[in-house]
Amino acid sequence: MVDAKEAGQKTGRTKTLADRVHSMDRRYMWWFLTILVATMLVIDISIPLKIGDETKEFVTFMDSFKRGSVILFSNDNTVTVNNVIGEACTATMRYLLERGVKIVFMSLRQDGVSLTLASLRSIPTVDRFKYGVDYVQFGYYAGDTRVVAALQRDVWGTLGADVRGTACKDIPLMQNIKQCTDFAAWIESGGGSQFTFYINNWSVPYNVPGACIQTAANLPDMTTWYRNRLLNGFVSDQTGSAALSRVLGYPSGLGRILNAQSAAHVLLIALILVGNLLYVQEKLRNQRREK
Amino acid sequence: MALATLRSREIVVIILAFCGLAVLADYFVRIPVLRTAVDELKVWAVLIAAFATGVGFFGYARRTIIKTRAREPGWPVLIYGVILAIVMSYFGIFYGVEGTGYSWLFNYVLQSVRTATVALGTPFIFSAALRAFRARNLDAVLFLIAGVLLMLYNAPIGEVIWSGFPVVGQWILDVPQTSVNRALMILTGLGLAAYGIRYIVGFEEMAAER
Repeated sequence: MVDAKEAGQKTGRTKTLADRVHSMDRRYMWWFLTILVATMLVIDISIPLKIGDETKEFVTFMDSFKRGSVILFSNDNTVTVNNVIGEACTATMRYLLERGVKIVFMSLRQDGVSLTLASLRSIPTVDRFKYGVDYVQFGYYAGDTRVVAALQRDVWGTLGADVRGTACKDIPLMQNIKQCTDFAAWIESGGGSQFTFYINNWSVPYNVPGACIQTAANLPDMTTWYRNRLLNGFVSDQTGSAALSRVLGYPSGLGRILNAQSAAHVLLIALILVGNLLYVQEKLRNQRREK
Repeated sequence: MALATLRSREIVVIILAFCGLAVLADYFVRIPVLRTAVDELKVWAVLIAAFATGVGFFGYARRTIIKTRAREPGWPVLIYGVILAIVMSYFGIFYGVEGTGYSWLFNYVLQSVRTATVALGTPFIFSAALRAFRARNLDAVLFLIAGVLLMLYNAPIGEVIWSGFPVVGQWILDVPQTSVNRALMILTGLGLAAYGIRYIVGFEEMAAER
């Protein structure tokens, strides 16, 4: 950390406001950010939530599945991603199971299996659904796009056995699931580009429709595929997760977290603007001095 | 001698060319025998990836032993990592991922540690954003404007400040972003196809050569 006095001495000129700000101890900023976020988590300021068209379409897509149809839910969340979109995953699982849609879970990320279990356990009505009949869980499969490609025509051969060690041929739910076209749809959740594996390997060659739940980092890609009509809606980040919970009528624990996110965004924007104003001021001053 | 023959470039190229061309051909023509062979190849690819994960652990353990013997900086952390990997694997293999031990380790150790690690990175993201968003030239100004607008689009507060922020943010995503992203996707696809062909015919350096 450069001291303001030192900064002025080094350049041999009077300290400007920009010098002072640039040489400010950054810990003040971290403390301010921490206090701001903590305050927002404690005080509920109830910022209104927007519900995007893509979230509404995601729900319409889920409503289009017939009772008894089977979908693949690829939970590719990591722990940190799950903190952002875990609520949307749980809400989606609950909504589909309660509507009589059967779900085959699998994961392209190591954390996905345990996170799916945690999500299922948090569904209040989970005891109404029978393992192996209403839902089944397969494990983690390494290989990313190769796994999705292998599932195209050989689901049994690729998945092998579920997390309890039961072979596909002995699982009632898997009896008629031999290839990807036997699934009514796919839903992928994660923080990477895994949803494009399903688009490339299932949706484009076999017309299996799909949708995804992702972090905002993938918003550009999701928007592009959504506009290409190869994604039937999507849920983006915490905002989308809270919006989905609201549309489905489930309680959401994201209200205050979103307030904290908003506050952090505003602080960051304010700091960016202040930093740029000082930068421009400094630049103009240097130009004048050179003249 | 036999091992050297197996590692020879020609054999690797032949295997790659056979696998690559078979999978590629299957996309365009429907021959039952070819289809069965390709399906088998795809499952093999998944098995190889699973095997590679296991090999990765042994690679890590080997590196730990070498570094520990040499008492290189950080060796206790490496040993700690191996112990944790063995403990997690033990519970996962013998009691299943639904078992209490594995679930406890995942929910109360791994989950907390990972979340804390990412949270610790927040100040650095903040700091990096402040540096990246400095209006040094026209490109940086455009980057700054688009970034700020998208931040306000993504956070619920944006709509509260001005109802136009979601509209502008959506326009940026739908029009300039989508058009550029589409072009990039097409170019990436063409590039990958060209690279794949070069790899299949042996024009690219292969793992076996390294």
